[in-house]
Amino acid sequence: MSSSIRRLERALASGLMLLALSSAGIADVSAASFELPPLNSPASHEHHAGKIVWADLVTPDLAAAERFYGALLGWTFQAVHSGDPEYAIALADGVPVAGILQKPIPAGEHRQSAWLTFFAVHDVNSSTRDAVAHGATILADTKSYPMRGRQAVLADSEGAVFAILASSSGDAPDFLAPPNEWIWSSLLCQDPDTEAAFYQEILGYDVFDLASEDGLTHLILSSDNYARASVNSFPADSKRRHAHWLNFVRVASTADMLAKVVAAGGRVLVEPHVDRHGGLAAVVADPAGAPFGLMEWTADDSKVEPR
Amino acid sequence: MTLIRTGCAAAALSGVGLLMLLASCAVTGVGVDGSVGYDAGYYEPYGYEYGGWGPDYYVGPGRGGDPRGRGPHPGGSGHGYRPAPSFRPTPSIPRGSRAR
Repeated sequence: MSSSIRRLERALASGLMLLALSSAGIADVSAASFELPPLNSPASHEHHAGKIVWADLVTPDLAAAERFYGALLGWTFQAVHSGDPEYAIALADGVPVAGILQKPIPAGEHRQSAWLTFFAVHDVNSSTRDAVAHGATILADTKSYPMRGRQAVLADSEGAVFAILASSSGDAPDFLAPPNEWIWSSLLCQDPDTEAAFYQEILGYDVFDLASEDGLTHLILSSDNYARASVNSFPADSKRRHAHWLNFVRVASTADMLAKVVAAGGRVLVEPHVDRHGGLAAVVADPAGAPFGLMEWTADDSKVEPR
Repeated sequence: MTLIRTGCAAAALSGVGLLMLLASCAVTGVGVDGSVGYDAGYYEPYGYEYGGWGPDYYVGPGRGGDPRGRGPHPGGSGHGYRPAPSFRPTPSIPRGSRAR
């Protein structure tokens, strides 16, 4: 009898030990898993829901992307993870501005490289629930990266892919983006009214409809009384009818940049045109086909101070 | 009876622990784009022919105070946005430099 009890006690003890070991193992894995640096260092104590705070490029060739963006924008790169696939942080003048993820294009699929736009939120879980309730699809469920924060990747009802992020280091204060950093984001879509309503619901935007001469809808999404992004009907003769976010880098000269884009292996998708603010804007693609915009902006172009 | 219950509890505990240990081993090997690694990379459908953007096709921000338009389309899908009050000027992007 007593030997049976001792055997059971030993079994119980070994079970508890196994449980403790496995718990420790999981904790270690969690801590040692893919570690992303903070967005802001030192941390900011500000939070700006709806502000676009990050962009990630997915590409089949990280080294080629680094060569292109390094030559074009002077970005430097910091490897975060070595192995396959790989991820690197792009820095503009020492400040983290983007991530580049190397990932093979799924076999047999005709897909193209793309930039993923990250919007600041207070609570990723709650915003994800709101987004799904309003027609979004979850592409990557909520997940925490201790230093970066908690994020999720979603597709809106037209299929435009975007990410939401509650940054562990807060959101950067609002300032005019220096040259070679992201200055603007535009959604091109079929139904701007419905899309604007969707983003208003989940990100709390104020929506400003703009007068237009082209008969198409152009809307400004605003938070903290700053314009954060625009929502636009597809151009009338656009061949690309898949809704998507397009991010713009501020440049000193769009014309000069276009020459660099072509020299570095990219291509021009939309020739330079004078945009609403009076500066030139253009759309280009990197060598892997990821589209992004170039936008001139002079420092005195913002004339209305926020209240 | 007590011995049987205790034995079952020990076995269950061992089983749970073993499963957790196996799970922890399994996740150790997952790479950047797996469910445990970095899973934010999504390729878009192929095709980037934007067509011609007409001279009045503007996607950028204005300089602030830009004229307002018509509001949500009256014949739209019924899922229109709530427009900002008409007395509010259209905002622009931030100005000022990054503090370093």
